[in-house]
Amino acid sequence: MSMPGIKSKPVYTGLTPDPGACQHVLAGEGPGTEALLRMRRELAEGNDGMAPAASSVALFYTAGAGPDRGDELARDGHGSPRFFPDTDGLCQALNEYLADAGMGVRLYVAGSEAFLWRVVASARDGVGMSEAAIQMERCGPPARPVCCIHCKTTDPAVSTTVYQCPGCGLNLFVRDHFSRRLGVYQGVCVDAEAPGDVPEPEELDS
Amino acid sequence: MQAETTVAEPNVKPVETFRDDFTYSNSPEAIRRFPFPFPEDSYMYSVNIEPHNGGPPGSAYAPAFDIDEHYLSEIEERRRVLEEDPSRCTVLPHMMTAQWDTLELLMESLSTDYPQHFTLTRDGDRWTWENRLLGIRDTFTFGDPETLPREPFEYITRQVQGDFTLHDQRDDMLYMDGGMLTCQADWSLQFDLGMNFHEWHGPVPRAHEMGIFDRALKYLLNLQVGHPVRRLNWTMTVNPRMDTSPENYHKWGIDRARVTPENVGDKAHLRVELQALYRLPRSNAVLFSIRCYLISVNELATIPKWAKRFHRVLKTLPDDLADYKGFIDYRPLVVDYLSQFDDGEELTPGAAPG
Repeated sequence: MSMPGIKSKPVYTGLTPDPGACQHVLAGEGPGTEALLRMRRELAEGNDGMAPAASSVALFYTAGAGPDRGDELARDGHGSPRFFPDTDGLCQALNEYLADAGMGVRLYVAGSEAFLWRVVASARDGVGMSEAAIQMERCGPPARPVCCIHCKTTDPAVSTTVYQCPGCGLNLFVRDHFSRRLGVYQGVCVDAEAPGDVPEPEELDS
Repeated sequence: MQAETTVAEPNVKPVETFRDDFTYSNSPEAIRRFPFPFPEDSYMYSVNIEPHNGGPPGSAYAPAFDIDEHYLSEIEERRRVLEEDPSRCTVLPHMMTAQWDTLELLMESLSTDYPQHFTLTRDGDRWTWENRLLGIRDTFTFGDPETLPREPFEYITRQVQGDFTLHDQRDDMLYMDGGMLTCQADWSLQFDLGMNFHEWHGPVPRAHEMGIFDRALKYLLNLQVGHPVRRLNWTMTVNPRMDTSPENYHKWGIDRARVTPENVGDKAHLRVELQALYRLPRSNAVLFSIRCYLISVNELATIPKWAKRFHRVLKTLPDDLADYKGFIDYRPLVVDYLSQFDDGEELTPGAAPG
């Protein structure tokens, strides 16, 4: 039922150290732990195209969508992560850090799609960070943040189209149309033209 | 700008409704000047952009912003939509200069094209705006939002028929950074706000692959002040409903299931958007005006050429376009109904009624 190739649907490439950056800032939640570990290793040891980072590396972490793998980050020997109880706390501390950062800072975000866009929106709207200076890697199950177009309730982790809106109870079809400003896909009533005729939910695969 | 004699005098009707009892209808004069969008017997996308520098006397193309017999009805409908959902008018904060540009353009155009209804008097920055159709007379300081009862963009677009969007131009791209949307064909300003040109056109089928949007964007990035352009777009709507927003789709979607062979002539409407684009002088933003016209199939069928042509266009329209435009389910009813008017004769080229 989804519409392939919609231009507003984000394409996630994965994180790669930016050799031009002076400061590397990593932000992640539980499902992004693998990506965070990999990035810290590459930044510390260098990778194919890049010498080890002489520049500073900071890491902000919350368990978020889980599972919590913070202990692995604490143990891997590449500096001390900063841990937060929730995404709001992480975003607030991250913004304070970014506000003091100079030119050449790069932000790398790893986690669920809802987490990625929470962090991006916070850094963009809070401290004016350009999306060009942010990389994202989507991790964990392919659940999407979806906003009901009718009642404006956002469900951060929708795994099927169709789903029932937790706000107004309407059965919603998940469109591939995505708003980077709001960080959400659009959910639209699926049975408006034939009330009660609700198709079987299908798993979202990306 | 056309000389005023070429602009039709709007015989403004008392308020009619676009919801509930749907009292909206077109007079014979309004039907004859309807901007019928089909110059040929079939339809496919094209970059159908032309200069917006007037048109045949009395036509919808003659004035910069067309005011017609439905003026009071559409202004009232806009007021009702905004009362229920104020976010239908939203402009991002960095667009204030573009708001003033819009106010100036609309006031200048309306007072030039319709001096009997609108007057703009300027004394330096002290401007006085009179809209006699709505009984408005306000004096304000151009550039000072505190001197108007609302922000300038909302203030003026509440007095003009049609939707408006404002587009910032940065890094060779246009962004949807504001708008007044109360009569839209199923897209959401709140959702699309801030999107770039390709993103907000994301859901449109075929046109990306045809290169339509790349070419259109390139054209629009070079739009010049004083040289507006226009195009037509179209779809179908059940009942003369202006507010076919996605926000309210769960309320109006059911209309599509209520078209029958008996009521199709009155219920099914051709919905045409006369879209015009203006480069704004101070902000370098682009103002996009989307003027919506609705005509029932029965009203349209009073023009024999249009009934025949619309029959042929609908019959041959590719399914994916009919699906995207939202009328694929009741299209067969409209085609069957229109077939009674179509004897198959060869039609003269062009969209004119005769």
